[in-house]
Amino acid sequence: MISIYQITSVRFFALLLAVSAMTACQSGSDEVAGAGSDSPNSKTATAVHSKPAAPADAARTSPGKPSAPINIDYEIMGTPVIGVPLSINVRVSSALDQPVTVNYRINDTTSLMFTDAQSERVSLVPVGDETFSAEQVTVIPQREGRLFLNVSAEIETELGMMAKVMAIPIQVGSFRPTPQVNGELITGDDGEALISMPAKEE
Amino acid sequence: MGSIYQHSRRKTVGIGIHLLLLTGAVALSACGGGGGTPASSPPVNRMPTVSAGADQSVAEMTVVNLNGSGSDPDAGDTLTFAWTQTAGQSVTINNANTANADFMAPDVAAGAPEVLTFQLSVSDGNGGNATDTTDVTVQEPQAMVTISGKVQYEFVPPNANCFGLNYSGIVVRPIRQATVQIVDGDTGGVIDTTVSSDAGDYSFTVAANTNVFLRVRAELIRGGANPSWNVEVRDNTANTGSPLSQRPLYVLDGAAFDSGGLPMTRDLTATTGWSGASYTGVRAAAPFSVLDTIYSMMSVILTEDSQANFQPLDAFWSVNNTTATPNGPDIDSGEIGTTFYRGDIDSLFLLGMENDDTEEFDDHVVAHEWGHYFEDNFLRSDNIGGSHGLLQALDMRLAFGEGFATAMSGIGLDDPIYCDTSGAGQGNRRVDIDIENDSVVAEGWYNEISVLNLIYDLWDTNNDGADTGSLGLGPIYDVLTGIQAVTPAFTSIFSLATELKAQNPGQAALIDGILTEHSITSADIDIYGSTEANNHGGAADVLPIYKDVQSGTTFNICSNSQFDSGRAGNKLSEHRYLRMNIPVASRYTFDIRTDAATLLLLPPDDPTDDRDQSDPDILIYRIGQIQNVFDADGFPQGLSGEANQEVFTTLNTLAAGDYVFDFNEFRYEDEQSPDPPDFPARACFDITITPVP
Repeated sequence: MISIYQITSVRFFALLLAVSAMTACQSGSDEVAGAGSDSPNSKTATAVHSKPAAPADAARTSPGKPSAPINIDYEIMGTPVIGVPLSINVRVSSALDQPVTVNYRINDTTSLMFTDAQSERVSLVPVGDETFSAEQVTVIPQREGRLFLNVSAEIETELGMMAKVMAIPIQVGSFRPTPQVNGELITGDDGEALISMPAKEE
Repeated sequence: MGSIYQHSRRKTVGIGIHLLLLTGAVALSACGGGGGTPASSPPVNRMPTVSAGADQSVAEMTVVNLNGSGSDPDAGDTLTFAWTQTAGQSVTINNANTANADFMAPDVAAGAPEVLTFQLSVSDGNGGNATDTTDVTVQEPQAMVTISGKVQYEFVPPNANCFGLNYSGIVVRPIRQATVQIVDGDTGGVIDTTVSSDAGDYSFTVAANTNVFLRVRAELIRGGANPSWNVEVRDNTANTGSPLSQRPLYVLDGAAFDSGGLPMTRDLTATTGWSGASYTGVRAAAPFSVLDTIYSMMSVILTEDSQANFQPLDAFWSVNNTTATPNGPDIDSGEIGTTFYRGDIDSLFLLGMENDDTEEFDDHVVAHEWGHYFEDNFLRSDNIGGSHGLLQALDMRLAFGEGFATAMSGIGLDDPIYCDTSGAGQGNRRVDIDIENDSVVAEGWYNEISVLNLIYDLWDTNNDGADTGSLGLGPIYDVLTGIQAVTPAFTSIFSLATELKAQNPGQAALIDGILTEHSITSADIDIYGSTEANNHGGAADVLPIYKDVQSGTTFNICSNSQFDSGRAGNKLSEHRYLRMNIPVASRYTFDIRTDAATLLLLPPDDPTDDRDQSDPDILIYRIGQIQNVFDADGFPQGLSGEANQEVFTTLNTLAAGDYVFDFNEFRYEDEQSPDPPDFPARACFDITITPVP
């Protein structure tokens, strides 16, 4: 059973490399790490037939935490450049026949800014089940690096308000910052890698 | 008015006797004196307070500090201090007229500690006095000393109704069963290792006068005889050149100190790093909160299986773990998309990026994913996974797996409110589920809300609705780890409920009542759901749940994506289940062809895009095990990409017995990209399964 997963994964990653080489846009979706999440999400000009993991293997990867019945997909239009407005097509769909409120947020204001005309909260009414409602959001990169536009989509349900959140990574230039370390990276006396975090002592 | 009052009081406090002060003030007031001073209560001197400090144990012939303090509620009073010794071998007190004094501890006999008592008196100069005492135990320094205390972490609970985390309500919890070490502060070598108690207590005996520090490792390790476990919390985004199992482990380090010559208490707390508006410090509490949730979950299993052997589990949490996932989960960068469990490496991956989505204090989320670990290692799970949302009509195996994991989070944490927060300042609600009481319109065997509510109600002791009793965890655990693990059907609410009723006939009425409450047919229920009548409001291709198949007979069956917003291929009626008994061992030929009516609905065939043609797939199961084997091209039989048909003869002999087949149209999980070809939402097939002569 494991070998099914491995083989299909290899097929997928080879495919993914090809797709990446061909596409000029950055795109993504909120598909999660489960069976089916390996599928590329942009149409290609070549025959595509990537099989997901077989069910027994998929069971060994959870589909991700319980989530609102909303899908968020996006496509970055063009190459991000400092100071140049960048459009991102955000598509939202829901399994429920309810309006979806979409919020855009920039956590690091030194990284991106909204254009003056950009609304940070919009309401979308899905046309129907399985149909994406499209929305274009425009931001202006302020520096190089891996920048994030945070999107949340809220919907009223029988269980109350639920939200789906997704960060859209915007790669400006080639600089990719080193991931933060929550503490100090040290080596233990036996060579073990540790992250040392300070305690409050009393 | 205040200044007049104070001025007046200062003029009279010299009397020094409160009664006289009061009498005089009253007399002044009665004469109308004070011009504008209200005829209110006369000034009263209030008593100062004093503390002589905590009791101490000290070594002989060392300078001992007496750390006193005092305060007075009346502004302007000047406090004077006086230390005196009231018991024990006499010593000379230095700076006896200050709050902080000291003395030289006397020489005492070995094994005969002496207690010296000191009194601190404070006077406010206006007749107010207060005293306090402290004991100092003097003893011979020891060659080995005991260092003990508590290790604990700060936990941030959610706000009411799950609208974000409540940083004003932080509570301190013990770090339970974690590895605690005392480390040589000069060499970094570990001197000794212990495990904290369930109260967070630890204790070491180490050489006196040694430079050391305390370290708490974010791990739970219990080896040897069962029960056993090995849980570690690591950062997946650091040292990415190393295998995941060697990525850095989080540790909580105290400051270095001299072990001295006497017993010492040192408490270590892992703090949140929250400064009021954002995380500005190290988020030390996070790994330990994750760890403690996992310990809670293991603990509830141990109540049913005291000899449980938990397979090693790594929990990967990082401040870089974000909801971004442009090309699928990227573990090294932290762009993992969501929190999930990976069974191939027994690992949890947990979101941690602030202002995006963090899991460390969303304990039900961690517990839910741990539920998948438990399912993977202790139970049998036929969950097909894949993207989905709450309230969707799901493949029953997915609904069962997800509902079970959420129910387990409520059971393990003994808290039915599943809360998942996110957003700026961790201030928003993402998902809020009342595991006990939530109900939905479309209840049923395909709804994870129904499943989670049903399992929780069977466990809990609260009565609500049809839940008028409790099975407790034991019977549920026994079925899940026992008979359901070898059921010939797929694992679902049907296999659980059927076996629960069979093994607990006295509780059949309770089980039936709760099933009925969730729109699941209880009468004559069996593991295949053969009597199920709920077809989600009359939807096509939902019932029967399993189609009985006879070899050699051609039948037609449809895969229907009617409930699949997002085309994940895991919703109700997309996978169809077939059931067949093979009386004699044989190889079998499966002949599956897209039927004529469906072919007419397919879009024109574009040879450069295979998504416009049908792709039927079939998997063969016997007692939960896939029987498909790989063909000469290294691809499993039954899952080829051949257009509009799947025809193959098994390379292996299928032994006699009961089988179930999982049949589906692969296009419904292959068309997630925008603008797919206009493929029909329902595809039907003619299927013939025949033994090879």
